[in-house]
Amino acid sequence: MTGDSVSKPSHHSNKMSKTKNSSKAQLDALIDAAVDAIIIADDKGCIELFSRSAEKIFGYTQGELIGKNLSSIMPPPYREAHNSYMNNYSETRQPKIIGIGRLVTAQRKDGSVFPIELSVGETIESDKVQYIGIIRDVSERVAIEREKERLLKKNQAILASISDLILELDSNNNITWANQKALVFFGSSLLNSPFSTIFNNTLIPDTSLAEKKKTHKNATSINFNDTPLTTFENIDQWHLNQSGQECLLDWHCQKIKSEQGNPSGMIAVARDKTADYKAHLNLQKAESEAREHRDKLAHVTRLSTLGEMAAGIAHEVNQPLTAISTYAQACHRLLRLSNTKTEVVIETLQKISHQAQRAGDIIHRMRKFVKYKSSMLEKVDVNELISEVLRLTDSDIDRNNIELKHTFFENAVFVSVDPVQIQQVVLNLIRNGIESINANTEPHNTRTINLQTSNIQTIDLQRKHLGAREIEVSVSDSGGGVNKETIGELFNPFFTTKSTGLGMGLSICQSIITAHHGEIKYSPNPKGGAIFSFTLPIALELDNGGVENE
Amino acid sequence: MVALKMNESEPTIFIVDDDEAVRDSLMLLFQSVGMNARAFESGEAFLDQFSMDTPGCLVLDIRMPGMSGLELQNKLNAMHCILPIIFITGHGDIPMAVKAVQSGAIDFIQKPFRDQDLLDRINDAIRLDITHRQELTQTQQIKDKLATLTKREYEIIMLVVDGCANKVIASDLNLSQRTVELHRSHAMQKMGAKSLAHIIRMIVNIN
Amino acid sequence: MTRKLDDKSTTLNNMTQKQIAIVNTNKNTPSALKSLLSDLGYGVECYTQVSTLIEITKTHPTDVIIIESDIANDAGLNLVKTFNQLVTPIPTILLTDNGDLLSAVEAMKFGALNYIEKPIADSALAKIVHQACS
Repeated sequence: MTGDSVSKPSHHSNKMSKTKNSSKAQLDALIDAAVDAIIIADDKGCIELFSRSAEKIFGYTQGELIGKNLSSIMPPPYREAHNSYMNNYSETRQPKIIGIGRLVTAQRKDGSVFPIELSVGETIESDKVQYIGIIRDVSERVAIEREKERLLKKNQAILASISDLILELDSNNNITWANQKALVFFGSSLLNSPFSTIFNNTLIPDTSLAEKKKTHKNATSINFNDTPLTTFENIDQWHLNQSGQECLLDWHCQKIKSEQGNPSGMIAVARDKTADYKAHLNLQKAESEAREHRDKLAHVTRLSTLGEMAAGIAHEVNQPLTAISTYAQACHRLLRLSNTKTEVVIETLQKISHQAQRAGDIIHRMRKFVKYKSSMLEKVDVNELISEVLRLTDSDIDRNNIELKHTFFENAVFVSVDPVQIQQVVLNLIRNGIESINANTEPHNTRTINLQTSNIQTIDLQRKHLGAREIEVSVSDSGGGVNKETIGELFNPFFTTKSTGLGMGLSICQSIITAHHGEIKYSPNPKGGAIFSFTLPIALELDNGGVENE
Repeated sequence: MVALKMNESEPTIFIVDDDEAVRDSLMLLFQSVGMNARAFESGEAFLDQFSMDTPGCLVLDIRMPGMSGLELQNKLNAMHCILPIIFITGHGDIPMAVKAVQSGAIDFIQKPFRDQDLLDRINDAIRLDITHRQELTQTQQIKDKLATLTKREYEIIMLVVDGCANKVIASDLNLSQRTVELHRSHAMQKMGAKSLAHIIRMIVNIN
Repeated sequence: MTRKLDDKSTTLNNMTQKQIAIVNTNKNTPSALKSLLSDLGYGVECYTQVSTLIEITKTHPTDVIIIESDIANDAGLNLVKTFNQLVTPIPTILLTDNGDLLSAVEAMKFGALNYIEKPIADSALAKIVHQACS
């Protein structure tokens, strides 16, 4: 039917321009200038015109394609099917593409396949049918669209996998969208309701939680009259979820700005911190239990130590009591004598009062030492703290014929500690020293204990405190030292070389010092005997006069 | 002040206690009853300054830094010092008390004490010391007199004390009875013995 | 009957074996001391009656008397005095688990050889008894 037109295929545009009028030349210029590729083919699909843009898009020169079939620029399977499409059209005149425009694929000279938008027109001049194809390379647009779709799917996946609750609010603070987690938490009635209905509907959780909640940030009320909302972060609120559980949500809110920079809405994100919070509470509880346990053990150990020291203390209290009693009885006798001077009696009464004070001081020190209280940090001077211990050990030192020398760091050194517990450690170390000296049967055994406080600089890699300043307290004795085999066991509970005592001394010392962020260690004394030393971080001074530990 | 008035023959209470207040109060107590006393802060100080010839007693604290009360007691025993010791202790340490009494302490008193109890014991102790010293002095005097006897006189006096008659002694020693009588009379004179019973008492005393 | 047998055995061993009398008025306390001292080779007799003890010692030689626990009080002190005032005094050792300084000093002044607070190591006790017998 249209088959005969195949006989005049190969017009060259240049040749045509010679033979046609000026409107033809205009058309040629138009065709060459067009951004879209223009291809003209006859009713058999034989290419008659291949524009410059077409050359650019397909990578063929027109010379290569004029007279060739359109299927050359089609990828399989269209390539094979094209002729049948054309025949089909010729017979049925039912357009599948002509005048419609479709997104199809084409093939370049290098074989690559790419998407094109194709529109086809047809001209029938006398009995010659020509098809005009206008082709736009849409690979870029398609790629963008695909990327868009991918991003959309990615976002959906993220939103589905994220455990936070996410809400989108419009500029009136109404909830326009919520992720699955939020819908599950608040229920689907959430959508289209004002954000304030859920945000300000905070719980006062059960008292125990409420109390502990104070350790967290206090609930903040947001004024919803201000529209739009301002951006905020880290606001903790208690909410009831759909299953009726109390949950702690940590809210973050971020403005969405329109292109003009006006707020067009908000994204509100809430993270469920209930589990963290409960873990935090459990940790706190465990820590406080451990502390309580340590305090109790320390107390029991102090009681036991004091029990061991009872004889010495009784002796120490008894001395002033004896003096008081004797002074008083002497006074009584003196007053019965006619020639007694009043001054003597007055002077003696003053001495009595002084001795009573002395006995009272001993008892006071002792009571202070055995009193149970949960550990409380106080900022105290290490030297002062140790001087007090020495008053407690004085009688023991004297009675055991030991010379105690102390070298204190020249300035006051403040540490933030539980004073009694640190004194307990020092006392324990001194008493161990005394016992070690007593147990030493070497004939030329000197009987000295050296107590020293010194300031040390350390670089603590673990705690990342570069140059953290610490004070070291060391107690060295001239006893027999520690057996090499037992060094490793020294700080173990119930380890003892004595026949009396529980063997809790060094173990409790270690837990006290560790709890104060210090370290206790043993080293052999080069002059014979043992050196026990411990460190304590020096307290930082704060503006408010308080103390910061760590 | 009390110490300045001290006379060697006047009984003195020696106090050894490391506690200044205890020493001071004891000094005042003894002063209040007009007794002579001296206080020392340590066993070492006491050993440095005391005189064996001073009668009295020692009031000694058992627990002291340096030389303990028991150590001082042992030192004094080694020196054959007879000064009676009354221990005073703030601490009821039974083994120490047992040791102290085993080593000859005359008493062991717990601090604080009733003044009268302490004073009574001190008086007992001082009396005991004076008696001891008198006995010692007498024994010494007898020994001194015995030392002035010639070998023969001593021989004869010992036989007399044993109950031998002059006749028996003369025959035993192969001497004339007259010579025995002469030696015996000289010896009795030297010993200051007034009778046979007297010389027998003297000799029994020193044994 | 048993008394006679005991007496006989005591007599038999008299020449070599040191004789110890333990007095403890608390009948319910089996004396671990008896077995300890028997094991050490001493002839040991236990008494719960002070009067029986005094009677027996008049006729049977006794080297040491151990006065145990609850009678280390006035009665115990009197016993110490009694045995110390004999023509040939018998050494006494007081053994108590609630001793006090005053009675210790009194006992020693009355002539006790020793005044011991329980608990005491067997070896230490053995040493004291040995010294008392020699």
